[in-house]
Amino acid sequence: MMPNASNGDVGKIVFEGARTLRNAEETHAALMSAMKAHAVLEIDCGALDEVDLSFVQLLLAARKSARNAQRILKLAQPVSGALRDTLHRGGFLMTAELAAGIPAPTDQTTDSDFWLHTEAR
Amino acid sequence: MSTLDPAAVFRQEAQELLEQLEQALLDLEHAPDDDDLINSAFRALHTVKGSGAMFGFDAVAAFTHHVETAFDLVRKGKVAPSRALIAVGLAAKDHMRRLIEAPDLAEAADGDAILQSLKQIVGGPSASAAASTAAAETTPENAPEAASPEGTSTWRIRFRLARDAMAMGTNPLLLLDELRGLGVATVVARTEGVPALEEMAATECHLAWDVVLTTSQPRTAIEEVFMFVIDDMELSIDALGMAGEGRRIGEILVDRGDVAQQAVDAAVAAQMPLGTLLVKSGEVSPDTLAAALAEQQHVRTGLGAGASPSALPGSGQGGTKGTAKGADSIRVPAERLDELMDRVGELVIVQSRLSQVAASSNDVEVKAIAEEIERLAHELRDTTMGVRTVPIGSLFGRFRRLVHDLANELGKRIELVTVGEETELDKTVIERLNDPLIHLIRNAIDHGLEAPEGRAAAGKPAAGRITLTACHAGAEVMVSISDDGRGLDRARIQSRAEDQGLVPPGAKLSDAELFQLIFEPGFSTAKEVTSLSGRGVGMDVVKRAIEGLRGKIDIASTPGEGTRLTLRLPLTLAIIDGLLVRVGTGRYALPLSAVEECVELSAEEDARSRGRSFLNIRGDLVPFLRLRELFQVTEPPDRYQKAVIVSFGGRRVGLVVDQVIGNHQTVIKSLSKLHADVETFAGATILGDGAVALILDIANLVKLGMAYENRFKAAS
Repeated sequence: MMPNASNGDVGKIVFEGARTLRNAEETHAALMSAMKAHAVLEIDCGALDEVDLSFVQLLLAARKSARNAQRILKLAQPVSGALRDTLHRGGFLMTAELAAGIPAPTDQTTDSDFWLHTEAR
Repeated sequence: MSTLDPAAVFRQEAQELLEQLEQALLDLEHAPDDDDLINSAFRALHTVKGSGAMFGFDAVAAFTHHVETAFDLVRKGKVAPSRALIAVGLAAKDHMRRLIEAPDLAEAADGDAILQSLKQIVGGPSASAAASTAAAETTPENAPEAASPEGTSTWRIRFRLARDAMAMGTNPLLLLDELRGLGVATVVARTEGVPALEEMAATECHLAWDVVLTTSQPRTAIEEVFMFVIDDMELSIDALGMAGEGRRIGEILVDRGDVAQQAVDAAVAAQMPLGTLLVKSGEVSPDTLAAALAEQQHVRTGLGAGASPSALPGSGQGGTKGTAKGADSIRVPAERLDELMDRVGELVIVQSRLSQVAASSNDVEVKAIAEEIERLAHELRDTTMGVRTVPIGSLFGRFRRLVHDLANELGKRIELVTVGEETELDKTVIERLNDPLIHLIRNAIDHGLEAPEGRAAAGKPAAGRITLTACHAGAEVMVSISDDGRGLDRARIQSRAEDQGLVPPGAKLSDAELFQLIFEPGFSTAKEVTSLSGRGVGMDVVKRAIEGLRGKIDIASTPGEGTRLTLRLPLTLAIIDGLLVRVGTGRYALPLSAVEECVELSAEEDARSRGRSFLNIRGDLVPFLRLRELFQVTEPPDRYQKAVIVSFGGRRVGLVVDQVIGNHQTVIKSLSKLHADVETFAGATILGDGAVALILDIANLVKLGMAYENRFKAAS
């Protein structure tokens, strides 16, 4: 994990390896400080090989914080690998198809849009 | 599994789905009232969209969404599946394929044009994105039956774990897995309870879940899942039973306590898609609505179709019921099968060496083992060949589109009949048959079938008929293309052949001989050239392609009744039954399928035929070639020369050899590039003793023999 402050105000945070309950406090702190530092934060989850629900929950919480603070939080790429598997197992992605037809209010993109990068639609 | 590229998995699945879509659309043209076909098309679109979004094919998902919307209206009976709609549907399918396979080549403008015409057909504004929500609000009358299997019941399970559950070691994923283990489950995570980051402790659990479970297990089995965490959690388990079938989304939302009845009533009064309205008015969040929709879908399909997008590698579930078929089959890359076939080939070669060694040994035990291995090797060979075969129906299916398009282009009405789709053939052969068959079908439609007026004048039904047939015949597969058109014009073929100097003027040729002439390069009798055919390019290419597969083409034609072309193809390309012969000291293999008989060339006959080289086989004159002369063998000939009569394309030629050794399992190895233009040989094989034997190219030798015959005919 390496917060990266280059590129103007667009921050990027890269998570790799395992992000589970064991290092949840550390993940929490990293997200907090990165969100304080940047108006736009991109989270790169491409190199994760183990995640559990605590990590998923932290991302959802960060999403809510960003929304409250009118900041932008997005994933660097649509979820894949271990994260996607966990999301699928936890029932976070299954509404993606159904949600696709639901017109989301402008301030309320659906979670599936967030995970799968379909919010541009 | 880890080496599988998810995008590749999606592409492959999408290809199958698009084929399914195309079949359904083409069938719809003939049976516009068939609900199964409409549903099949819709399901294919729906799955492509969902999987596309999941794997990051956003353009595909976005485009497909609109097409799906249109077909949803068809499904609900609001729009009729007209020919125009089917045509646009086919164009849309082509565009989707481009988006998936070569996104760089797909023009956005094409897609827009397709969507535009789609919108015109289904009627403008109703085809908006909201229709997808409306899709979920199907009324009970036209909802697909929720045939709950006997003895199962459906439960709605909603739970929220204690705040400290995760910190105390509970993994909610395992609970969900256990629920899935009980039956068919649709799991939706509820994330509204998750606070903002700054208000949340990292290890607390704020998530909740809604699970709709269809199971044959009793309620207690569900309660047992939560046995160890039950103390501090919120859990409700409600039976949905049969009452849940086809319910409106409003009822579900109220029943779930997600929204008040008044809000639903207000929305209904406003006559807008309910879900859309409730979300817009802030009564429910999009995620809450999606969760309710998931429940509706689960109950309606009885299968939880949305629960496990089949595209997800490792999900192991076959998706919607119409396509659930793959549970007991696995997908294997073709190159692995090729590798397997190579290994089996090697084994067959080594096995024949072993047999040879065992034959010259006195050890009974070795002989017994060698026989056992021989049996096993043959079985393994047959099994492996079987693994590589696929039904020819997959190939036939592709031509339906071709025929459909050609019929439109030429203004002819054409009916395509396929017989024997289940006939299995080596995958490689099937792939290489595609182009030749396209040529032949085009020819049949363009030249063979008369225009509608012509058919009426001949007293035939207005719709021309093209029949594709496949069947097994021994170690060969026969694939035939027949039409009920005007038949080949004997006189014109003959005069054209004479003009081109292919036959001497006035030569008397049998039908079979004459018709073979249409495969000569540059041969065309068409009076006018259309975009399809008539340029004289094609038939010779077809013939070469079929010969490349070691196959043959026979033609039968009756004037006024039609033409039938029959392709005879070997089952596999890799291993053949061969006849081993000796010429001088060299050994050669002939494909046994081409061998008709072996006769002795007596010294008298040999002497008599000197200079003419013809054998009298039961009254027929058959030209023969002395392989000794052809291969310039210097050793003295055996006293009793043998002639092996081989046939190709209905013509026979005798090949004179020193000795017929016998049957040999011939594993075909291709010759090096250096020898690629040696026409007499089709390849090489390795014999039991490790020596190499060349495989004779029968097609070529027959041609040589024919040259003799023609010279003789011209002289006499």
